[in-house]
Amino acid sequence: MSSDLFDQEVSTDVRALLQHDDVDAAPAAPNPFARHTFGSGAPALVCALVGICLVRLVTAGHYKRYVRVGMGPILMISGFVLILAAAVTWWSSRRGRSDSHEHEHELVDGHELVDGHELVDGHELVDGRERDHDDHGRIAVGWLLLIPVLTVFAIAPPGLGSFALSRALASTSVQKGSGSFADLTGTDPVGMLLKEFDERAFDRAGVSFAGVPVSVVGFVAKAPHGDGFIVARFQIACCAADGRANLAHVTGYTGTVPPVDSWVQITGSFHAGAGPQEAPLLVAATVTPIAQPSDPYEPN
Amino acid sequence: MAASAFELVAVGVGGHPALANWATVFVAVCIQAMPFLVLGVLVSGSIAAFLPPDAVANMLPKRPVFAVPVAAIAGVALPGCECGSVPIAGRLISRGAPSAAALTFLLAAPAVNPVVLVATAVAFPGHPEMVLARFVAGLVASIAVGWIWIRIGHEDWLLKARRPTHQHDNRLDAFTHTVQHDFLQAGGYLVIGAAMSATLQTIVPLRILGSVASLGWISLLALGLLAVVLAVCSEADAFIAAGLSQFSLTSRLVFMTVGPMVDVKLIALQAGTFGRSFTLRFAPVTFVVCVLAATAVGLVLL
Repeated sequence: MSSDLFDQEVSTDVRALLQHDDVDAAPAAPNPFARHTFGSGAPALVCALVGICLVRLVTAGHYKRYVRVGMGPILMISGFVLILAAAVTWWSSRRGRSDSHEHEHELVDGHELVDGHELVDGHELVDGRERDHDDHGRIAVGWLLLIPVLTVFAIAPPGLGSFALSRALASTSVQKGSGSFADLTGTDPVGMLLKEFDERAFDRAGVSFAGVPVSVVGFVAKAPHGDGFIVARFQIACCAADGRANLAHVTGYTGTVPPVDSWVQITGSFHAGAGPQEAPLLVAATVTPIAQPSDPYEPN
Repeated sequence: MAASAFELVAVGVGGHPALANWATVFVAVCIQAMPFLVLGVLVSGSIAAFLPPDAVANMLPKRPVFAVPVAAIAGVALPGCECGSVPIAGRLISRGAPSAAALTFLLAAPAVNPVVLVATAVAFPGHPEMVLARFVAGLVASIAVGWIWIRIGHEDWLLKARRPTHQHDNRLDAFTHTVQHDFLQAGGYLVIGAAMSATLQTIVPLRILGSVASLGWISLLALGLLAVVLAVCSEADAFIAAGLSQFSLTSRLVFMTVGPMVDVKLIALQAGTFGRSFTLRFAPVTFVVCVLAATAVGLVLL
């Protein structure tokens, strides 16, 4: 899929939208561009591109930045359904064109609609023209689907980060816990999600850590107050629009603080003493920069 | 040339956290809706291609007053979220289903289906009554809106959805044509809705909501409006509601009742499918009914 193709199609779109007004003003004069653009070829192309985008997001694994991991299979299936639907309509219009039958149907699309309208609402002929315009508009709005497709391929948005944290509605942090935890044992760092860190910190004021070191993964954000920094990771239920953050306030680290939004693995120990609405404290022993995990979120 | 322009934009967006956040939320809302939209247009394509014109009308009770609750119960059988039910309801109306029943189905399907109820049970482990409350509030609100439509609705507002469908030589052509047509139409408006939701989420600091949590009816309205702004999938909103622990259970029920029926994404989708004059009336009425129904149910059950 070259960018030339996009370029060409988008400019065709703009041209069609411009021509669109002409169609509206003089529906009696058929417009070759409008016909070309709103015939079966262009809708099939948009459907196919959305389908390819979905399949590509799943095969590359990038869909995990936007939606929960479990949606992979249904995104893949949806992508193939769209590609298949596009292929069938494209193929049937090609076949129709050689028969010069289906093609004719496509050509008179608009007029058919006006006729159909007359049959249903014989009293409003003038409105029929508007509705003709309307139907082209209904399809033309489909071009907007190329915006998310282009955004995915050209910009590849990174997933929720520190900016979202500053806007977040609620963090699960210390206000919320679920159940109680058995005390940790041993001396090696115990790997856990930030969600569990927060829940343990809430449960019996963090007694279950029992002094055992822990290891967590998240991105770096600025601390709202005091020294140190925040390590955070979102959890999502369905998509990134519903992200909720789990976070810890990292203190006691004397090395260079990694840049905001970079990913780190931190070993350290829980420290009591955070205020009631504040993130629990994690006294860091080591802070290791890592690549963003392929699934940047914690399971819900 | 276009490629380099995109690179420029990409660098600009990547370097600006607010724009990057906007792009992430925008793409996320679009992507998560796709499977449900595809399921919805496959159903709407089947309705257009394989159902005889009067089949739906014949399946429902003749009197609209009774057809409305039947349609609400039928919504239980569609395991999707709100994006998919818009093209289905649009196609039902274009096939001659009573509009009140189709609109009730539109509202009920994403609110009371089993997937959504299970998600609610998982999100509220200590509150099984929340599942019942959500089910009842969703049914009550969707039926009430259907009955209100019978009283004050105008068929003129639905002209856009009533337009006749194309005739096709064979059913496969009719099916694929409708699938593609409805997908492009609903998908285009979905993109508009996703852009609105991403914009609101990026510019409005939702943290300020916490300050109204204890303010009685204001907190009910605040969470109702939050549902409109967030425009998250009805299968996910229970998890957000569970996280809003500073709010009362009733105001969180308002959030979960409004969300599947009125939000910026749905408003865009409905305006595209049914027309602007319809949506301008339908969305505010539905919002008010949802808030009232959820509050009443919350007072009794929660």
